[in-house]
Amino acid sequence: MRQSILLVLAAGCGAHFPMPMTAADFARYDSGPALVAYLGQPDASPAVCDLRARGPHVSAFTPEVRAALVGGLEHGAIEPGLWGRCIAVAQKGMTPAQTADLLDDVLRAYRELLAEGSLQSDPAVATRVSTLQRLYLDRRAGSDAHAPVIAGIVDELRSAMKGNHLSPVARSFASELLETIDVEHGTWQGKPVDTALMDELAAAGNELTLTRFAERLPQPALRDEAKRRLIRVHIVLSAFDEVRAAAQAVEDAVMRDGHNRVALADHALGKAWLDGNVAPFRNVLVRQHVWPQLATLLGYGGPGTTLSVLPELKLRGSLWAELDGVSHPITLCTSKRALDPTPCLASADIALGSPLTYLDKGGAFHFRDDLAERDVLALAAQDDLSLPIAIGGKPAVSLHWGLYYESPGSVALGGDGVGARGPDLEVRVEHPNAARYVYTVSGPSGTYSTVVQAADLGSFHVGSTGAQGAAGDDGTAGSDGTSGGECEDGGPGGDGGPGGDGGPGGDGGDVHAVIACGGIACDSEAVAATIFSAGGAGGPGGSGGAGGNGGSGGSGRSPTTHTDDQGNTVTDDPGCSPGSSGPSGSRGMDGSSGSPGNPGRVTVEVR
Amino acid sequence: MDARVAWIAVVLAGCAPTYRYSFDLTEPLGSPQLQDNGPQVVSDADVQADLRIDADGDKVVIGVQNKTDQVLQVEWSNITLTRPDGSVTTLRPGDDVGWVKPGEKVAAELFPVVLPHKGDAAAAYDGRRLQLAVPMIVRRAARTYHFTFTAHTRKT
Repeated sequence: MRQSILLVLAAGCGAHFPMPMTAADFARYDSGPALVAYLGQPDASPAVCDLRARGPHVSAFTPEVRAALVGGLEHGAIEPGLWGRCIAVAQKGMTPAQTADLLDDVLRAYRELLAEGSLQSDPAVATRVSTLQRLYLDRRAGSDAHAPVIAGIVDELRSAMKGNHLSPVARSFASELLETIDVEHGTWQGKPVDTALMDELAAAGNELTLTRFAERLPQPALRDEAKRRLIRVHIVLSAFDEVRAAAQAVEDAVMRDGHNRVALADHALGKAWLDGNVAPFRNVLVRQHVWPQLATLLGYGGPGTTLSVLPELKLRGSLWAELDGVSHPITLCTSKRALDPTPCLASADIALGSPLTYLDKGGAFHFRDDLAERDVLALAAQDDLSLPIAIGGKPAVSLHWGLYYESPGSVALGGDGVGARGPDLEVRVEHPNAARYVYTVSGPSGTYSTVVQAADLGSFHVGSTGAQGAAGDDGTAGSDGTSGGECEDGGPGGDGGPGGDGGPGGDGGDVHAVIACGGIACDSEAVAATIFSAGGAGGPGGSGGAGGNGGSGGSGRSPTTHTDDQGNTVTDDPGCSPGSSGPSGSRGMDGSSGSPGNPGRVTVEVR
Repeated sequence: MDARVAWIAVVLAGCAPTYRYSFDLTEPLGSPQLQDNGPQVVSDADVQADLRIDADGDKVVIGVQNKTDQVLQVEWSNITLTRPDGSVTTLRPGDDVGWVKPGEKVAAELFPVVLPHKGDAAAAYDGRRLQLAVPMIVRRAARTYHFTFTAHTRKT
């Protein structure tokens, strides 16, 4: 498959980036427009926004990056859900001052969008406002925008609500914001928030209000009281008899850990499975960079489709397990903020048996972007990309994604220096899988490996090439003719010298290839046809030298006369015409091209 | 944009026809519509729901009756509306509401339901479907009720 390069215009910045952009590509650009372009792709991961991430990520949220990011949402360049996840993880790595700056930007964008007339009739604008609102209202306790920014917006909104200046949609957003800000000051619907009020709400199963209390009340002790009541509501609703039977212990565990992690030492794994409706399925394209021996994994929808980055693997809700002593199947734990007492698997209990992935702090697996070629060679034997998943160290289930290797085109090792002979090469071709061949080429400059799909053999070649011969020297220019004296012609220009002949191309090196089909039937003729040795082209002949210019003719002379005693005119000097320019010299002959080198000897053994 | 083009754009925008919406609950089939644009009622063994999309009020009006003998929780913060173009909006109740005790009913207005009211964008909604997904915990098990509405637009 040929590489297709799509250029995108990052919103409002005029910056162009080749797409698809991997997280590693983004980290090299490391700019606001690049972040917008990266997040604008399908399957982009918000992990690039995480300053604590193990994988590639933005180096800092400078004012330029923040402005681009917030603008990316405002102008619709980033899908709001992904944008919200990016900001959520970004905040985890920020200092309080950085978070305050970011929330300032968020509130300003919120105010602008809330005043947009199109909010009332454009669903996309409403979704953006909703995203900003959730980000602000669901932020971590203790983090906030700067007080003057908040006060300005709150005053504006209260005034607009009072004067009925907001559209119905804007009003519904503003009401929620203002009510939540009241909670941040310890009141709810005009009453101070205390445990008695919380008990009333818990008895009514009012999770929405208790969640606001748990996240937004100013006193940590009251927030904890709200959390406990939320957990109790969740326990009452739990489908797990064992959770309701051990309510206090579960409540304490969720308060302590944020979730109710099952101890795998006490509950043996029965069976595990992936929910095909939820688990991500993709095809993977391996792009190989032969000379530096690196590889990149990309998402691939098949010939003619646009390549994309690979998505992160979130196994919560897609990986399920039955454990002894647990009454229902369980999946990975949700976020600690959910205060969910449902028994669950910690992400630390899950391992992907693949060196191509790593686990981030949020419990999602990511594919490494920049791999060594040796990492992807090992995969060539597999029919597909198999990602075995272990639970508690025990093999549980595997994800299977389609696997394709992009053709590297031709791998030609050339002679080192003008007219040099190509290197002698040892080529070993293995056939670990019916669909693929692995080529390993060894020569004086090193060893290079690459994987070729069987279907791409016709367009792939590997071998030794002689270097091109030396170029012939250009001929010398002819000398200019001498200028004529008065009344004399100019002298002829000299002829140009002949160009030098080009040097001979280098011979191709000898190539010895071993085709090791192993136990799998292989098309050894097609493989043998990919192996070559070729002489280098002869050097081009030098150009003939230009002929010299003819000398310029000398000047003419006017006649001179005088009148004698009888009045006759007597010619003293008849004068002369100007001289002619001399003829130019001829251009020298071009040199001949050098002879091409001869191919080296190619021997192929099929074993 | 020069002044003349801007003026033309303003005039054209002003000329775009305005539309009003009505909605039929098409899945699951409900009882006959009680009144023009009134609520439609669907029911199973555990839950009875009456629903109405109020396009003028930019909201969904929903009532949920618990027919079981255990508390029923609507996951009020996870109700979604999926539009004909596949975009998803999370709706929230205007007032916080709690669970539904056995035999009781709660009602709520869900915001924001933003629909285009002018021009081609509004006309394109005619005959298209919007899906409301209401996750609940019924008899201690998570269950999501899906309601499909077909939009009808008419010029005003």
